[in-house]
Amino acid sequence: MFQQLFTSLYQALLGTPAPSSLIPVYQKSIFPGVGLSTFFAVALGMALVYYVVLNRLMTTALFKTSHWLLFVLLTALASAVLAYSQAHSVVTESLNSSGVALEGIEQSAYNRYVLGFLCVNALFGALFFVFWSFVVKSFSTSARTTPVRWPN
Amino acid sequence: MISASILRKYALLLPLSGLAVACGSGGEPVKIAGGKPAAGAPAAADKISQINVLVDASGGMQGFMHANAPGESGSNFQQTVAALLSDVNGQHGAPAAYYFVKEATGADPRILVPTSYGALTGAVSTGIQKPALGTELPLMLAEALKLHAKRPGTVSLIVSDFIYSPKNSGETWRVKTDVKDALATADAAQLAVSVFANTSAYRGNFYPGNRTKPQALRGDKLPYYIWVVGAPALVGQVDGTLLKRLASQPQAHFNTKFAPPYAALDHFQNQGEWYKAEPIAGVPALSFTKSVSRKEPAEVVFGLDLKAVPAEWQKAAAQGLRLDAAATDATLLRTWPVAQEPAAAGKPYLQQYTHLAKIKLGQVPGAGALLHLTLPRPQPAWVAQTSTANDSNIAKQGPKTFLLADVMQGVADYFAGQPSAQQALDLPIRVQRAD
Repeated sequence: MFQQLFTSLYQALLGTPAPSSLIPVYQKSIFPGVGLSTFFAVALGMALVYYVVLNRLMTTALFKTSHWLLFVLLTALASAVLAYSQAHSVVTESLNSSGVALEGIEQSAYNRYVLGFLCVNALFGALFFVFWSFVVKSFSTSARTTPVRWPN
Repeated sequence: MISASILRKYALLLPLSGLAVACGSGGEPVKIAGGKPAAGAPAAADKISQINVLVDASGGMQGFMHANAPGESGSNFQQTVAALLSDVNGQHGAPAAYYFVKEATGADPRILVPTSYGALTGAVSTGIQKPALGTELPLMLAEALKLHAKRPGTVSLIVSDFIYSPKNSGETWRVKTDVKDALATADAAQLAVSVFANTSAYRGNFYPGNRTKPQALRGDKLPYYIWVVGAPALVGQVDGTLLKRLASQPQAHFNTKFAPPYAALDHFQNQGEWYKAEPIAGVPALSFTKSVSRKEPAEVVFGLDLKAVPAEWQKAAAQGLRLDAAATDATLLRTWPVAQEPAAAGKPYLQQYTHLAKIKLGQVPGAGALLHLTLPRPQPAWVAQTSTANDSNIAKQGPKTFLLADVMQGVADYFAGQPSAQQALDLPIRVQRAD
């Protein structure tokens, strides 16, 4: 179910993985792995850093909406890096175990799909960060109303 | 107002709780489909529990086991059988037992006389002490099979000239029936026979199968045979291990099951969107996405490692593989040896196979389908050439065996109802729709 959730999320925007021989690797390993870590490790982590660490435990002047937007961008960037490195390492490991190297058309299909994947994951990372922002902002002291007053 | 704001707040949390639930149930193991060939790992039932070696101790075998002057290399029979016995003795996979085969007499009604490795090699290298008058081929087979019934998982190696001359020479026409009947105690589906032929110098009196007077030979070449009898998969194992030395000899296989590794190559000349799914009960499975259609068919190249199957089958496979398409429109486009594939150089994932077979498929039924890549059973041509109906003057005829064709026909008749009578190899492939 969890595997299917992230597979359908990513495939809704990206289509089935290419080259098609990598479909099981993406569906069983990369999509759920990257989706999970983006949602919890990256997005929730960044939200906690912004709201709890920077704006509660420490007293910084980073409570403005522009700072929050910067964190949205940072999260997107981290999500993209995570997506690329995860896809790259899992695919490489899978290919190495069967002694295969991607060539020609397969290599370009792989490059194209990984590019799409990191863009989509940047978008997801940003959306997840926004989502977590509304969940954790009430734990903050100085940024309770960033980016908007609602719902506090 | 307050209650509405709380509701909205919790509405935001809803997707999170959904994810958490999904996360909790996501216990599916992460497996990555590798490119390893689907090697049929031998299950517990495929294990050899006992190896019996039966050596024909009749006077007609004495000529193969002649004494040698110092420096002589020994006959082919002596070298081959001594090496085989040594291999059997040296393997630690299954206990081995050794038997002389003789005729039943009033004093000693036994047909199989248990002996030891030492006594058997001794007899092979210097001759049998008290050769039997003759051995009946059907009795020999029936007695060997009795030992199989006592201990499932037994494989018998029977060494003999396999000359069967019925006591009444007017009954030679029913040799094949006698042989068939001798095997009938076993279930044909659970039995296999592999026959390896060889020739060796013969010194001494040769007793013709049609019961004419003996002929003295001085080193003329005569045929002898090693039969491997046992469960289909076990005979295949023994053929590929203990009898590896005989791989280039003329041979015939009845119901012997070889399980050559084979797998789809998902990075070689593949067309269309498909991928290797988890094998189902050891059968490799391929999943095809919706984009595969009659207009845009998929192409799949299979790698087959036929190194362990008989050489004749390997040769036949380059031209003779067939595809049973089941309920699909699959066709076999091409079969070719890896050695003839220019792109194979420096690609270990191709080099581990001996043959390639390309399949085209444009339609997969909703329930999936089971394709079969098969090799029709080649008829061994050497049998007819080695058989004779009259071996009275064997020195002139050359290496021939009395009514060998009939004996082999009897074995073939026994297995006629098995799928293996038509197909030497049967490699199933599961095709299904990707969900």
